[in-house]
Amino acid sequence: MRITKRGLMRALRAPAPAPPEDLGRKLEAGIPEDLFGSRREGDPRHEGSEPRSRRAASAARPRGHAVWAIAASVLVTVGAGWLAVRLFEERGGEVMPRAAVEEAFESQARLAPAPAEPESPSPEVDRLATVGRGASPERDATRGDPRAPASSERANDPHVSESGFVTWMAHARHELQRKRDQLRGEMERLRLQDVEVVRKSEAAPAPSRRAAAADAAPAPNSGAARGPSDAAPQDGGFIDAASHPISTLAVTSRPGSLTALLDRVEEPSRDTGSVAIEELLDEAMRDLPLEVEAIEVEGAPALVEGRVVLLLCAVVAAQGDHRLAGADGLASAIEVELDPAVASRYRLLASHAHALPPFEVGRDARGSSSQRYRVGALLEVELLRDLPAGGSLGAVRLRHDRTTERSTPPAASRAIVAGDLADGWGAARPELRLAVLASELSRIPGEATVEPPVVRSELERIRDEAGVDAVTATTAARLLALTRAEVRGEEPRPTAGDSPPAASRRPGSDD
Amino acid sequence: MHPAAPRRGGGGRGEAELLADLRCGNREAAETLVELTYPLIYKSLYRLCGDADAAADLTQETYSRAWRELAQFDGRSRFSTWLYRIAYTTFLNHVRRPQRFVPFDDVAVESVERGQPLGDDPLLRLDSLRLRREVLALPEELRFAITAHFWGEVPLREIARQEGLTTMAIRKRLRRAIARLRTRMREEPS
Repeated sequence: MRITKRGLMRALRAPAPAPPEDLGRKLEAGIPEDLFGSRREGDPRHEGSEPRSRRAASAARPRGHAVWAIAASVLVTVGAGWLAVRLFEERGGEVMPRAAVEEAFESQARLAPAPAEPESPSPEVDRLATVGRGASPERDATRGDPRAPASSERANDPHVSESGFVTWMAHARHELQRKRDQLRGEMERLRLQDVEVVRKSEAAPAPSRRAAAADAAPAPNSGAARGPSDAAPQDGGFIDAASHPISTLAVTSRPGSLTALLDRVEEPSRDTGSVAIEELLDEAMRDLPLEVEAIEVEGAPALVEGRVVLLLCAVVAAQGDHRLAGADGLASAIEVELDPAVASRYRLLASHAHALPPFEVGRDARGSSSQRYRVGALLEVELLRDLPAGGSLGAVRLRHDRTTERSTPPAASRAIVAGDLADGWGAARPELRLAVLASELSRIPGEATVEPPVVRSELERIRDEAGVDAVTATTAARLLALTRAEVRGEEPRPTAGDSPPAASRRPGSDD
Repeated sequence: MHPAAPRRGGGGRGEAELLADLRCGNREAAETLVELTYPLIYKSLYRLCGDADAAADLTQETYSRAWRELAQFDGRSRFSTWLYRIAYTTFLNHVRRPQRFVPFDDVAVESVERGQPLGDDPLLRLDSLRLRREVLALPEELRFAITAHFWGEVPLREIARQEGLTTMAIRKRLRRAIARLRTRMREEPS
């Protein structure tokens, strides 16, 4: 039987019967009275708190009066305001001596809490966080300091008149703008601080595993991630696998946190020309068939010979009232243990945790509700030798606790085997390749291990690949545009389908 | 028409305004919200469970739970979308309750428009009972997307907000669900 898509959709849209007549009344009667617990006697706003049946008589009361009253009051308010402004301006404006303005600014600056300076303010931090025009160090140098309006800036303020006076209105507007900038700077600082942790832990060895874990727990971050907590720094962010075979990535998720809210507020105003690596990583994890507490490992040979990239991800769940409790969040850890006989060194390219939608029914036997998180990390590992078929690169474990003590039994674990790796770079999923390329792009021109033309060529390849869906193609095109904007003085870009230079291609890659 | 849009029944007021009134203690706003939303919630639950009485019971349970959890509504999606999610979860809890579990094959068949000839398209001759069974057998993420869109009449954008995904990702899920349903419906019923 041939079933058309249109026919199936029509069948799905088959009409359903109307609800029973008395259902509406039952539902209205079932509205609990305690829902209106804040009702106050005599408050006209709460007139509707009586059941509808009792309001039958008053239903005919004309609403026109109220509408006219509101309209009139609005008109009076606006008119009074306009009149006040006109009078104010006609009298030349009440003026404030410049000295007083200066004093006000100074006192405001003293009263405002000084934002904590990032411990290692580094342009690399920003490059790791965001790729694109929005991440240029020049912009962030100004965005990061909420106390930016210095005296020289105030001297150039267009609201300050030649005679050394400023009107109150202009002053208020300026203050509003300054507050807005301050808030934006604060949000940027939080964002940078979250990401900075990844670099900070790479820059200086943590004193102990317990200390690192304790530090990780209160991170005010939705989807915050901690880098290798006990590893010494190496060049390019690489960590020696022989001295640090185990790396723990603690993930703390707080969906109700202030930072999560700020992220949501901030998101629409983010530079449209930027792409966060974490978003691409999340995109790469999205289509993986993950069960709760199962670990998925996906990898591929990297563009640089002798290295592989590994995507480690899992879905973790907090049962019961976690979503309502909210404050503590869920602390989980992905722990990677690499075999020093196979792995030479490794580095964390990106990590991400994403709270999955609430009101989800858990997949446990009881069917209780749970809050689920998708957590993942992208690692680049340098191999000492080729991984034989059936060989193991190490193991990955998932732990749920508020520390990362190794004594805690893992919730799940599995080996990282050769079968987890794609046959070649080109055989890996486009989403995974995009995340890796974005990471490379973020390191241009400082620590990139792959030449910019190669990155660009690969992006074009992904964009033009047959069967790639629109999201991936769009993302690749966007990254491509960023490559052009970011990389200076490079060679003319190759056309789609051109192979990158053989020197930086891995031998045996399939495309 | 999606219930989120202002209607005459609500005096032209939108959901946001009604919710604001409700939070001020206005009972009429709650009743208007019920009026606006319950027909669609009932229909979606009917399509999910295929039984008129069960759908009515689940509708009442949905609203009861919604009033209890109203403080948790964060406005990320529309109220009606949030309500649909609760209805969907209530339905899942209903079928997972051991003491009230009713196998799909035993659902009152007479209440389902079974084998109703609707045209030349062979699919339109298939019984809706089987279609519902195949929809409910889909993986969770596909099942929610397809039931929310087709049975709950929730716009794609709203589903995306509710799921924390992009609209494109939801489209992708719908495509996968439709493809899987077509494959399953081609097979002979077991």
